[in-house]
This record gives sequence, structure tokens and C-alpha cells, in this order.
Amino acid sequence: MSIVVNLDVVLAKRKMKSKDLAEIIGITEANLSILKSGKAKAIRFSTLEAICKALKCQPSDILEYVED
Amino acid sequence: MTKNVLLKMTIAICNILKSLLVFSFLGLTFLFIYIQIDKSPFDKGTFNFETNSGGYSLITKWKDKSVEDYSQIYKLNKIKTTSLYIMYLKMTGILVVLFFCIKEFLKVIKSVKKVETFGLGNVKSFRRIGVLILIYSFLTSYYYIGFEQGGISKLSIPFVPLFLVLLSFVMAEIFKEGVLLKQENDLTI
Repeated sequence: MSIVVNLDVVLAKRKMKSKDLAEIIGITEANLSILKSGKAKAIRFSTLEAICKALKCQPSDILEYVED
Repeated sequence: MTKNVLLKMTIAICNILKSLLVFSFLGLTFLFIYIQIDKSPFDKGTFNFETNSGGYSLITKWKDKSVEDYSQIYKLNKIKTTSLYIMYLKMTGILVVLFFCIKEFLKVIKSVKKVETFGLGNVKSFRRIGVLILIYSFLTSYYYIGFEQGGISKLSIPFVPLFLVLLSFVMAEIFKEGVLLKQENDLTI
């Protein structure tokens, strides 16, 4: 897919573990790893909102469009 | 869905049907062996081919010229041995097919109970049920029984099983669609 999830980068910048993030936004670690690995087919606005709120960032920091 | 009475009842009925099929297979085998050892108890047993089970059918009867009435021919103790073997194999086949049909259906019901309704296993199960009912309708569509002084053959199109075949293949497709939707939903974070 041409949408890349840069959650790893943002997490590293904030020095936050994915386990903590999963706990804050209230999803399972398994689902978060699906999101990070790019296997996810869609992301709910509520999840995106929670991630942005937890990491104090914009959706554009997490998601990136790369042309094939 | 742990407290669903309907599902529990269905499972119970399926299990009863399964054991009934096993018992009827045992009974059939017993009868099959017994009729070859001693035919005398079957003197009075006559076949009645007049019943119409619905659907279009083509019945062919034939008899020796020396016999006047068909009811004298169609006696249980006058079946030819080859016919007996064919009948036994056919009936066994029908019982086996029905048994596996119920087994597959039980798999589906159990998966519904476990809230894993939309899995690929159920798609396969419905396809298998379709194929099994197709075999069943082939098995029941034709019979030929040769008696010592005549015989009968019947060719019919069993509409109800064929409709069920169609229905189960449609169900398989519906479940396939469901599996896709579930995957989509599972991968939405």
C-alpha cells in the first residue's frame, strides 16, 4: 500500500513504548502492531484521534503517502 | 452466544439423527445378511411402488408372461441377489452421505455457538454439504430392482434435494462474503 504508517518514528521521538501507547489509547497490543506493520486496511477516526492526543502530534506525522 | 436454546436444541437433534443413522445402518446390514441366510420370514413382505413422493418420475415395470399380477412378483424374498447387493450398497451410500451432511452441519452450528460464524471452515462446510446433497439426489434419482419373475426401474428428478444443493452453494457464497467483511473489520484499527 502507498500509505506508510510512521508510528515507529513518532514513538521513538517521544521515547514511548508501544505497549504504553496501546494502553493509553485503549487498543490491544496486537492491533497496534497490525497498524505499525502496515497490515491494517483502515483506521478509525477515533483511533487516530486517540493516537494524536496521546503523542501530541498531527495525523500527517503518523501517516505518509508514498507514490508507488 | 452461550445460552442459546435453539442452537443447543439443534445440536441435540443433529446428534440424535446421527445415532439414528448409525442404528439404521446396523439394522440394514443385519437385514441384508439375514435375508441371504434365511428368506422364509420375508414371504409376506411385498413392495408397494404406487406411492408417489412428488416430482416427475418415469417408472418401468416388466414381468414374465406366466405371472398375472405384479403383487406376486414384488416380494421381498424374490429379489435377485445382484439387485440385493446393489440396493444394499445404494442405501449404505445414502446413509453415509446423510451422516456426513449432518456432521458438516454440526460443525457450522458449533462454530456459530463459539461466535466464529464467519470463518473459511464454514464456507467449506456449506460447499461440502452441497456436494453431498448432490450425491444424495443422484443416489435417490434412480433405482432398479430385479425380481425373479420381473422387475422395476424408476427414474425421477428429486427437486427438493436439488433445490437444497442450490441453497447450500448460495449459503457458501454468502458466508464467503461474510468472511471478507470480517477480515476487513478485523483489520480496521
